[in-house]
Amino acid sequence: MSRAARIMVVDDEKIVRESLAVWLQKSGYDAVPVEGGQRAIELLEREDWSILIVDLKMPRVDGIGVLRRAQEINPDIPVLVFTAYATVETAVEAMKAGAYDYLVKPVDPDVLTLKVQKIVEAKDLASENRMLRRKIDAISQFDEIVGESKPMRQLFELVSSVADSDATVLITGESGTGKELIARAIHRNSDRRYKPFVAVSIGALPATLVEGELFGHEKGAFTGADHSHPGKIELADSGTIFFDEVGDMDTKVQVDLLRVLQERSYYRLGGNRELHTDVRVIAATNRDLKQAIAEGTFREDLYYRLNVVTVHLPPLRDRGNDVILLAEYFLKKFCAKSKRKREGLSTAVIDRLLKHRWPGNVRELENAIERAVVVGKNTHIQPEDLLVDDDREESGTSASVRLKDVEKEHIQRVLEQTGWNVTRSAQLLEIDRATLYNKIKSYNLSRPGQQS
Amino acid sequence: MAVHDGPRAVHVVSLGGACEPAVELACRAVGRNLDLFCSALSPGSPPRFALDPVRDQHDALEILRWLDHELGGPGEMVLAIVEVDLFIPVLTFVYGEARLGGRSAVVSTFRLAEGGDGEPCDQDLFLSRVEKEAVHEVGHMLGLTHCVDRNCAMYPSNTLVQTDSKGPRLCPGCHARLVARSGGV
Repeated sequence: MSRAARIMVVDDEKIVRESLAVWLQKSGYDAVPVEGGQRAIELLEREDWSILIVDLKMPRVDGIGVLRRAQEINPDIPVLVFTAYATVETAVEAMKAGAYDYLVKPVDPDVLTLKVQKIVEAKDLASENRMLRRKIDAISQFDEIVGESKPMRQLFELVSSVADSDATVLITGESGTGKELIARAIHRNSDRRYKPFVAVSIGALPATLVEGELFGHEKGAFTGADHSHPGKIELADSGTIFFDEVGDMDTKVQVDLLRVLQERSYYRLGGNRELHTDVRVIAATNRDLKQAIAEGTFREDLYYRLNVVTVHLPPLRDRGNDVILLAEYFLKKFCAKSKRKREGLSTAVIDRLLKHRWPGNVRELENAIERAVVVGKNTHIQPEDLLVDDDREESGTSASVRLKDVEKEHIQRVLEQTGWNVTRSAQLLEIDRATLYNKIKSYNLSRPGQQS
Repeated sequence: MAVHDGPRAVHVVSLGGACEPAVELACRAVGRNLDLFCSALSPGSPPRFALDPVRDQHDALEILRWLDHELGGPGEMVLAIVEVDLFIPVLTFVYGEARLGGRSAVVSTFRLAEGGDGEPCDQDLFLSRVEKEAVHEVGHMLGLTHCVDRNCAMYPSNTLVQTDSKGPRLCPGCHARLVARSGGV
């Protein structure tokens, strides 16, 4: 607690209430001795108290009377009831009336210390939770998603309307359009916002690891399983789970996921207790799932399970002037991060930003602006600071093929440089691991000496 | 570094024949760790007046009241060391008792000699416990509350494990609070 917990110590015997109050004061609590039940009720009505410690047997208003009135005034106040003559009846009566605990005098000092500490910690946690909730509420619904174009305004409306429902959402859109941000926005605007949001790059997981990752495991489930471990679904319970890159899921993984969506129950690896889950599912893909179904690489039943509501993210090239708003947003962000001063974008840069087709979408723009902030020498970002591929390369099939070849060779080279360390390679390439896995798969790249 | 404006004095007195080395050590530890002038008074009689026949323990608050009236002068603090078991009304026992900012404190050696196996502990461990509890209770008289630092003398002791894990010194935070309270530098 930011200030000392305020503890009321109520007893009709002066020596008892004063000695206990003094003992608590020595632990830094603001403990106040109060004479009798009537006076206690007067003070409870008038002032805020963190904990009430009350003796059961008192003349006129007894401990149970104070406890009942305290519960009416402030149901959150924890009450410790003391008694010198313990009976089952009084204990039951006190607990029924809402006492936090019932203690027999004299009590072991360590027991009392721990009880009071536990109450104070629980109250601290509750107040921290309230503060976090206020913080979450203060984040405007779409704070990190910048855009005023018509497709984005329509998107915001759709996100607002689906957020409140518990429907499964499938987010589609090209790589780099911000699918995870939209998933987070849906979560933040839903009734589950104070519960966890757990993202899983499910497309990047090898089939052999998926079960353990999603369902967790019990101790001894396999060699090296020294501790039991909760899976992502368990961690996301009561909240939202976001499955990214579902279009790249192995067929075995698709079956596992379908089972969870259908049955809403599962077992930890090596476990025999059925666990039930209450979790909202949001999935995302940059693939055309209908085409994948036609090709036989994606299960149709899973598609219909996921595609209850579809939210499509437009590519950046279709978002008109949003590119300028986004560029200014990233400019401010990276200036603050790198402590550099750039006053804005030059006219030539604005022109270039609007003409470029942004195949890597918002992520490409973000990287381009970050680089420009770091390498630029002028107060305004200049065209030479912007490193974007020439747009001619993206029009026409032959150019596109060449670009792919260059990308394939480059990825192969980086992988070899890092000894096929995917995490390190993804960092060097400034793409996420899931994307790199996809590219390795689509370019059919393999480690020398290994079959693809 | 002087903590106090003037030399504040603490007198340590054994009531009922607590062993001499314990009184001497307590006196030295209090003087050194709290920067006080500390002296040992001649031993007094056991505090029979504080015996509660029902509990067969001695009331720590009665002893503090007696010390307030009988020993020490203006501006002086008194720490009594007794061999009898102490209690305050709500608790089963206390190792010691003092009021925050008060002028009397008491430490009981009754439970400090316990070893882990029901046998008495060795003398050095016993003396180090007395030393820590003495600094702790005098710290309360100087206005210090319990500290969360497990090595600090002001860490609370409800068990001997807690007493044994801490040291006889104040942590830097408690030392700074002491300096601030006494207006020293």
